[in-house]
Amino acid sequence: MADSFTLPLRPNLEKSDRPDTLPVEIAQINEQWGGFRDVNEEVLLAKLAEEEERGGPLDSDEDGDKKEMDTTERREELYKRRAEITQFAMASHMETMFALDFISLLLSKHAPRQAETSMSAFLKQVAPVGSLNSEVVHPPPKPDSVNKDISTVSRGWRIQNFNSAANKLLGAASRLEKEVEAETKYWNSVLAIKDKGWKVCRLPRERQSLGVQYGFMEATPVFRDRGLASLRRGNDGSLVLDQGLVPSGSRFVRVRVKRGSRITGCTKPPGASSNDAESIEQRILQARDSVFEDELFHELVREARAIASCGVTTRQNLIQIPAADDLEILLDLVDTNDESVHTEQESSQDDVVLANGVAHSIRILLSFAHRQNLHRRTQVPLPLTPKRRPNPEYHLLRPALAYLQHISEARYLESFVHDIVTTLRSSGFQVPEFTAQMFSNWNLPHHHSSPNALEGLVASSLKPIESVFQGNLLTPNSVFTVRMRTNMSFPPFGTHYDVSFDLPSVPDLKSPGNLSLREEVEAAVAHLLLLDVVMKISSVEADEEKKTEPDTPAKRWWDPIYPHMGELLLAYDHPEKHKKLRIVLSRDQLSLETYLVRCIDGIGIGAAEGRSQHTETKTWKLQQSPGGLNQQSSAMDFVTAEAST
Amino acid sequence: MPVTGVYFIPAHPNASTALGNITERLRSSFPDEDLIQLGRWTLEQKLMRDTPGLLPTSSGPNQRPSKPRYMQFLSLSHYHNHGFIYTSEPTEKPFHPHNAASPSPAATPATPGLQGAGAGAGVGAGAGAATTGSVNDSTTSNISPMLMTTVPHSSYSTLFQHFTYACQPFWCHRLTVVVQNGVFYDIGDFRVRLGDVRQTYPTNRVRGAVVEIEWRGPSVIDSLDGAVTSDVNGETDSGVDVSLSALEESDVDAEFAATALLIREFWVRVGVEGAREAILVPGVGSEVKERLVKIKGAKNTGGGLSGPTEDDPNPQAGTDVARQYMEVLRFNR
Amino acid sequence: MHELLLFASVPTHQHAELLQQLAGLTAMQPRHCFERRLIFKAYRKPGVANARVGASQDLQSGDLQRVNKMLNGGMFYTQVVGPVQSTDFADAGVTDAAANANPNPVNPDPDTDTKMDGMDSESSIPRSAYDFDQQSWQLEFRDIPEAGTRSAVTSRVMATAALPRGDIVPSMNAWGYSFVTEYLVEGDMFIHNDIVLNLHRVLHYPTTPGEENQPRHQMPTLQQMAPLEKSGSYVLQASMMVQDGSNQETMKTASQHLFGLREQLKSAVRLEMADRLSLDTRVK
Repeated sequence: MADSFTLPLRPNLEKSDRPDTLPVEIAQINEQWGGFRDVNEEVLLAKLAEEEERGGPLDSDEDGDKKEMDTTERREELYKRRAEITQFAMASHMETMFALDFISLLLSKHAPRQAETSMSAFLKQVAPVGSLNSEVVHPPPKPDSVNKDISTVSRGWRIQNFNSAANKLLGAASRLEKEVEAETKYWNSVLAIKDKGWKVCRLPRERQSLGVQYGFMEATPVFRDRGLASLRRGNDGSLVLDQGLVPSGSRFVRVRVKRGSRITGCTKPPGASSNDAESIEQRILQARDSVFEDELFHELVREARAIASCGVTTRQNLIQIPAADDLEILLDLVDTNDESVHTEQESSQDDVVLANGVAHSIRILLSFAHRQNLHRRTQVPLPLTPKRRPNPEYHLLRPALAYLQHISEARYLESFVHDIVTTLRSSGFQVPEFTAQMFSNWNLPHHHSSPNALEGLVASSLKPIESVFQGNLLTPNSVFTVRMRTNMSFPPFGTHYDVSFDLPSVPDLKSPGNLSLREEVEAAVAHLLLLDVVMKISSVEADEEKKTEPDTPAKRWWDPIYPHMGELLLAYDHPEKHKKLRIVLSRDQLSLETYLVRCIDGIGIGAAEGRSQHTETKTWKLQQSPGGLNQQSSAMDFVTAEAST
Repeated sequence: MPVTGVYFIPAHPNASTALGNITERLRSSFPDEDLIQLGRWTLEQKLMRDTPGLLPTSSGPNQRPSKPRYMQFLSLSHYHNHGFIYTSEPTEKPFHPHNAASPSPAATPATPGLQGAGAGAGVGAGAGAATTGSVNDSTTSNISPMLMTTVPHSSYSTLFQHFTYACQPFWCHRLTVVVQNGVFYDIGDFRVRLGDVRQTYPTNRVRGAVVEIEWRGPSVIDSLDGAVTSDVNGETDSGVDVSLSALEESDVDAEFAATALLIREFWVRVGVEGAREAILVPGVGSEVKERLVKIKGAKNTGGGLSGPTEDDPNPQAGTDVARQYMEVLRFNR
Repeated sequence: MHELLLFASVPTHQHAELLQQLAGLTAMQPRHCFERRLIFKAYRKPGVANARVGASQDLQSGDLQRVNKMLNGGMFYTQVVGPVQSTDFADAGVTDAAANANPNPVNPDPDTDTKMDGMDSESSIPRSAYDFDQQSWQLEFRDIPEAGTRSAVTSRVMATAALPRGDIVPSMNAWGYSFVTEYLVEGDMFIHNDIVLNLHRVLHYPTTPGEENQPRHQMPTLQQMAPLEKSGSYVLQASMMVQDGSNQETMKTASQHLFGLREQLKSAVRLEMADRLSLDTRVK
């Protein structure tokens, strides 16, 4: 449009009908050079060079002066200049006063009273009022040539002024054109942002400028307000995202897994998803990610302080969480571009997966907390009370912590039960398989399409985690169940075990109830299995008896006198020849020991039993190889053999 | 809903209550049971009366003496989901001309239950009088039939405040009694709750001791509860046991009467004198019968049962024991 | 508990626009809701105050004065409010024949037959899956707004209490309230910090014979409901609850919140306090 419509702004310079007439030029040269005789090319060039020389070095001389001047000289110079200025001012003042006096004297002829007021005292003394008169004098008519000169000069002035006006206007026009271009570019990019789905709005504090909302509406107010940046226009119309005082670099919460003193797993910074890293879209995305990560870390620190009782420590920019055993999780907020972040450590694949898992889970849980905030915000509010409502910490770390602790405890328990069962098997007992049902209370919904199901899924991970170990025992109809629950969200914290069992052969056995130490559970399970073994041994005879010969008098067999001590008695007619069988069961070893007791009926215990030196011991150790069973006789064989001797 | 009985042993204002005595008697009467305190329980009862009934007898024309009307608020820690409001049925016609005191639909099934239980109470009272000799017949006959409402616990105190604030011309708060440190034991098939009853409004004073005896043995009524809950869980199709459909209201009454006998035997064995008994009070069991009707109705028509609400698994739980408490704690104010 | 309120009238043509503005302001989607509102009135037998015989021998003279004062205390209308879903309304077009055959099986009214004769098929009520026995209710008591407050908000004593489900009339009768009438409120709700914004209007039920004396057990179709305000205009109500009305500090905070909202909505609607007597709930 600027091209199609041109307005002639410069004055149309009409060529003067003829150039200056020759006589005029000749007269001019004569005036300037005093005749043509001396004017030739060399003279003119020399003249030019001389002028140039005079102009150039003069400037450089001044420059040198400036440099050399020190402060005192400067001050002197300053004083001198000031004196000059004052002098000029005084002079001009005097001149003005003279002019005033003159005019006053002149006027005093016609208006003496009025003129007198502006006359100086000196003038009043030396000149009487009204002593000067004026008369209009008609100047003699100017010759045509002079008039022509005047008109030419004024025409020249006008043209010059027109020119400068035109220049200014054209300058303004091109400036406007550039501005329009820039605005178009700006608004196009704003529209592009809006088309991408970002919320563009007026800034609340600065109503004339635009902003883009990229933050999270449900975040803590500090971070919610940070989610708004103004869209400013660069000089060339490019869109500038102005985040105010917020540092613009991108940061992320780094999760590291530490085993002992070694870092074995670390999350990587989120890579730039597009090669077009400097596009405005990318900048907004980066700002959004940064504000999310900042908030995440802020909330993590808040939560870490709240659960300091679980051993979590916080430094200025580091959260250390002892998760389980020697496993430690480190969380810190680092710059994405920080080169030191990328130093490769000796990492194990599992721990990298673990670190990534933790990193994802805390982010999912923060988003979940945002949704919960929305739910809460849109409920009918409680009545206003003077006390401020507490702002509880989000559950970000605790579910992860509970999971890690739970899986560690569960694996430990699983390996323990597995070991002790293997030990028993290696001694020939046919212990049925036990089942471990990990995370039994996490029942995943089959269809998770609706947002509610999704939230339910996340919400279920905030609940205590439960795993169940269940197994049958040697004696019929006997079962044991260990139910473990780990809870980090509300007291009682930590992992709790509920050991329950059904052992018909030992009727008055009471459940140990709720246990909270893995050693206690170990002891309880080992004891339970010991009781079971004792009962199994003592019941074999009854079974056999029924099967083989019901008529014959009862064979001597082991009687469980102190099942809780693992002790069985083989009663004998002779009072001093009672035989005792003591069973010791631990995680990696089962030992059977028989010896004679001398006390009268064999029911003494400890020192009172009168133990003889003569002992028979058989031990089965935990064997990891499955084929180890055959190389030793089974425990039952040993027991049977001992019973018959 | 278990069958219960409530006994109240009044005490003089400044004397100690019979609580220690009862505990001692329980110990000596049931030597086989070890009396282990299982926990604590609390009770609060607020009694309101109709304000006009508080005016002294006027010397005016001979009017038939009106029965006093009561509104009782009761909260029990063992039914913490809801509070109980027990109100005398309106005797006056509502002011509004359209509402000519016609019994509304929901009240209709409850009314025969009320009458049936009232008859049962008469029998029970007779039997009770033989053993304890202190049932106040006049109190039960002197007041009009009462209506039980359960409200969510959050509303309990709000409603009470509402009636004291906005209903002064017809309701007047007369007294508040509380059991603050009640204890309970399991003795055989019974659960026994004991506690000191203190009056806290208008003045502080001792009122006596209260004993609640709950039958926890097998009962037809429990299976009724189970039927409803299993139906709600959607585990069974009909949710109604075949045996239940044979159950009649008279069976329920018989069940209540039989259990009442057991509770009385228990009380006789404890052997504390001077107690007021409330077992088969008017209206007891009406919710059970209502439920029975509904279960039968559901079987016939396939219609829905009133199930648990989201915050209260069974809004009607404990109404019987609440009636009994309110019966014995309705002091003459 | 206290309630602080501001009101604005919203003409029909502005309704849609205001909904959008409020959604933007509160950053939430409007929550459309329907509420059944039953009006109950406290009743007392006329003249009963003078002649009563009761067990009141222990009454002191001070007590007597107190009782007399109580007898002359205020009595109020109160509302019982039950939320309903849009699916609770009957489907237009589907009418249940059974309704005609036996309109009120639970409470057979002797007059039903005569009324039935006058009924033609058009006035029969369409039915829905609405289950009256499962209807939840809450008691909403609102006192007359406080007089002589210099603040420019309406403030009044309030109480809200959940009631049992189903038929609430027997309990209300026993408690001293009788059913007067009912209406329906349709509207959208927004939450803005501590303020509840309700953009609603009152709908009247179609007049059906036999249902005026008690709350309806069936819901008509939504199309049959007629707005009380014939022009179909809405009311915007901004309300805020304060736990302790005697605490001047919180009351002031609450009013300031409301004034802040009034400022924010200034260009859209004019929120102002209501005429006190128009919110009078006293029984006279």
